[in-house]
Amino acid sequence: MSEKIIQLKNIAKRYDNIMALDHVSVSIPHSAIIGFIGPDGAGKSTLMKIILTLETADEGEGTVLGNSIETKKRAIRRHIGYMPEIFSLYTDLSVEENLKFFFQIYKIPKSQYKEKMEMLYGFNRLENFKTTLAGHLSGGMKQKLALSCALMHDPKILVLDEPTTGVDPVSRAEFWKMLNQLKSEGKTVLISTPYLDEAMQCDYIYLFHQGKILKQGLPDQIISEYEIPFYQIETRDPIPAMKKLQRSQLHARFYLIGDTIHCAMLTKAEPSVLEMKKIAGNEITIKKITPTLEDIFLDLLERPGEINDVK
Amino acid sequence: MALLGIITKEFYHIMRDFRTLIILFLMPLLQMIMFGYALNLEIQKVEITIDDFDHSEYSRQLIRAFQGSDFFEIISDDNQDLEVQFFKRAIRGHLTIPNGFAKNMNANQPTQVDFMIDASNSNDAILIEQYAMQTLLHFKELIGVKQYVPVEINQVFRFNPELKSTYFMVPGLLALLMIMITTMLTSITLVREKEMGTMTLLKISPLHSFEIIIGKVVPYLLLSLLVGTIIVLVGVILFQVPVRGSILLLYFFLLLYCLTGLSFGMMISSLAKTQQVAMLFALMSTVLPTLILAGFIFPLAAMPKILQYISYIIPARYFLIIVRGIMLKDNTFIELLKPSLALIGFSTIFIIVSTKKFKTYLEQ
Amino acid sequence: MMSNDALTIQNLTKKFGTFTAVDNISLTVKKGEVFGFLGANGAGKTTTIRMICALLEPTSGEIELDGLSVLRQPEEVKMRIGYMSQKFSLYQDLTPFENMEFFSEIYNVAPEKLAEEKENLAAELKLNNLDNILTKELPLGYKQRLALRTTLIHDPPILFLDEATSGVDPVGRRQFWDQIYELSAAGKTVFVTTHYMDEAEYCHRLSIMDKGKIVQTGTPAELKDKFDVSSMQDVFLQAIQY
Ligand SMILES: Nc1ncnc2c1ncn2[C@@H]1O[C@H](COP(=O)(O)OP(=O)(O)OP(=O)(O)O)[C@@H](O)[C@H]1O
Ligand SMILES: [Mg+2]
Repeated sequence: MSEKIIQLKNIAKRYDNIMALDHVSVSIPHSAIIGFIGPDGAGKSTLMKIILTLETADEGEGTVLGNSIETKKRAIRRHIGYMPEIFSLYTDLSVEENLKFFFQIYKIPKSQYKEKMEMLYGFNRLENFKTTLAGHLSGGMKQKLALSCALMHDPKILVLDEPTTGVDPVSRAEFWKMLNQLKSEGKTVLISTPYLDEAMQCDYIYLFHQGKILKQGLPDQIISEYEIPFYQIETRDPIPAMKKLQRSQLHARFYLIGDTIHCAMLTKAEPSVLEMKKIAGNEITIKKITPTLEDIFLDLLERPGEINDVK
Repeated sequence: MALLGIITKEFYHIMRDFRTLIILFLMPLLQMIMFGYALNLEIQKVEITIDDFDHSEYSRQLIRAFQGSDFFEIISDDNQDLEVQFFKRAIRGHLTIPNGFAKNMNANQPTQVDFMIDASNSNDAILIEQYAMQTLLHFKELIGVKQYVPVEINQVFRFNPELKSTYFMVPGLLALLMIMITTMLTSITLVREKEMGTMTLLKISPLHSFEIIIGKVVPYLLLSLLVGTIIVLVGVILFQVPVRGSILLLYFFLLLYCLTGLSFGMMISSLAKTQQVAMLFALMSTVLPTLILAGFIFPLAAMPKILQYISYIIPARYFLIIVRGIMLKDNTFIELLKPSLALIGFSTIFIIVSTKKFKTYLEQ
Repeated sequence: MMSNDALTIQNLTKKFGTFTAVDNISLTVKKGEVFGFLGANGAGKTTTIRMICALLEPTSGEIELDGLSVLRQPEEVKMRIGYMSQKFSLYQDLTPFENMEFFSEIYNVAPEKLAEEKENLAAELKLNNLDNILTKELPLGYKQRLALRTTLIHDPPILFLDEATSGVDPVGRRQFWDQIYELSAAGKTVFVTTHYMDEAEYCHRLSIMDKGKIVQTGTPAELKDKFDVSSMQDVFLQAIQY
């Protein structure tokens, strides 16, 4: 791969009695969208803050854009944009005043103001709410405003901590268009998200769990290399069928995805279709599927024993 | 450009937080009305000089009575200019025994001595007057006069002829309220940014720490000066306190004093995590020292030595002397040189230490 | 006659100044239903829920909840609803148990019931230190389940969950939804808003709101048929005219 703009080695961070990061290493190239996924409290935000130099690692070392995260904080911060997980805008300022404020403090040439605003209003659709106080916006609108403020900045690295939480599907799609645009301009985006369909759109993902990196790779590669077989079961009334299957002694996990039941085998063995039909009714149809990231995520975290092995 | 951005934003915060704004302007008013009256306090050792033009047994007895009092300390006058002595606060009283004092007494004629009192601190002045009266009674016992002796003290009040207590209170309140308000203003607005998470965005932005500091200080400095002006105006209009000295000089020191408070608030904000903590800390660390150690209510002379030493590092102490000097005595910068240099010195140290601390916080 | 409807809304409107956030909507939710409330950001979902829960006064319109008029009997209505807001609404600096105790005080819950609920929560979260850990120290998914349990402490027949799973990871969301189903099976009516379209699939019926108006209502299957698409995601994208 090309030159790395973020290199972290063996980073450890402890809060009180919790090991937030347990010796993780990442290396991130430029012009890429990097996804941080994992359950709540897995260490994603902490690692982001260490990259941003807002937190100091207890152990390990690293560079961002060639600057040491310990000694060159200011140099790093100058080139990095951030959207925190919690809403961090001025609720007593209007939409426009917030945008203008960030435009000013990011020291963008005045001549670009119009163009920037056009681009951002195009995405956030808040143009009709220019004069509304940020505190009076709906949850998702606030989120989009915060996101717009982060995108205003023109840094080499953009760190976005769960930016699309509470954002509606239409806006999320548009937001991802913008991220891809930034990537094509040579920027690097670090993003954490609870939406696994978004993780699929990343160039590379890190799956965090309990302060460690459980898996990493290209999304497609993670899926194709996953060895456990998955099946999809369709039926008219999935919930009772699923309940029955879960209660059965079959060597598999059953769970709902949309209006279908998914089945993850606990071993590499083929499932017994006949047996399943006997339990859940004859009208069900069963087919083998390629798992989605969500299937894999659930499997990794819910598979009995697996997590403990990792610990 | 970026600096202007912060300043503009800060003004939006100020204008939109109407409640706080009202409190900010009403509080000084209420405080002044509350504090404006009735303070009864003890003081010790008032330096006085005595001019004896009579040189009689009676006049020496009277001087002895003053000498014997725990309250007065007679210092030698070395023929210094009385005016200067009062200005320098070297003395706070001056007794003149006129020629013919003994003669008049022997003739049982109405007899007067003149006693001049520094009344810039009106509470003290009232006490000094009362003690002088007591001393006179003691003098009468000393000479063993049982019957009516028409000796009187003719009081002359210097600086504050009408002896209004508010004369003294207004400069004190200015010192107290300004340090309290300024410290609270910056500490609360900065901790609010911390609580809302916006501080992180400022830290991560390309803003220099000095831009954040100046952007925060300028709006609140203007606001504080406005509050200060209101306090002075209320003093002048409601309590008829004069501003005898230079307004420019007054504002120069007010500005310096406000900067001290604002930067101190900044230091607090780098430590406090919530607005409540910041507010409590700001109140405790400004109100108590100012009330107790600045010579505002309790005279410093009556304090234990250790507290007196501590009081030397309290900017309010010097600010109080300066404001009184300017408002009540028409003192000039030269006359106020000592407290001025002290205030400038201590404030500068305060401002530097506080901003350094805050800067470290921003950049850590 | 007892009605089968848990909630009826008629011609409900809310204006903020000149801006109409909720524009003359009507809606019926049946008892025991898991009812989904979808819509773009700012469509008016939260505003509607706040009016139903008597937290915000409507500009006009009628809301009837469990046979009670929200406008005329707000206090009775509040005893019959559980409301979990978009923002996490428990006290972060109290322990989970202290939070439960506090809310059971408010709603006059019997001590035995509280003890039982505490046990349930501990069993459900598989944590035994819920009385000496601060709520803010819990992972988000746990916090949301704690909030749900607390919302249920006074056994309300109708629950309003406003983006209760926002930001929660897939495992946490799944567990949360298991709980929603249990509640629904136990006869409770659950009214949810969400931006996760897979969750929309799990609703019995749903409405889609756009710019203050309800633009679609039906079961997920009906809506998918109507737009001739295979997922709720596509239904949403077509139903909303941005
Ligand atoms: N107090 C208020 N003052 C002014 N406008 C308000 C107020 N509360 C809400 N609004 C406006 O009402 C509209 C609807 O807001 P609401 O919170 O109901 O949206 P929502 O559908 O819940 O959106 P989201 O999916 O983002 O949570 C928004 O445009 C919002 O700006
Ligand atoms: Mg909402």
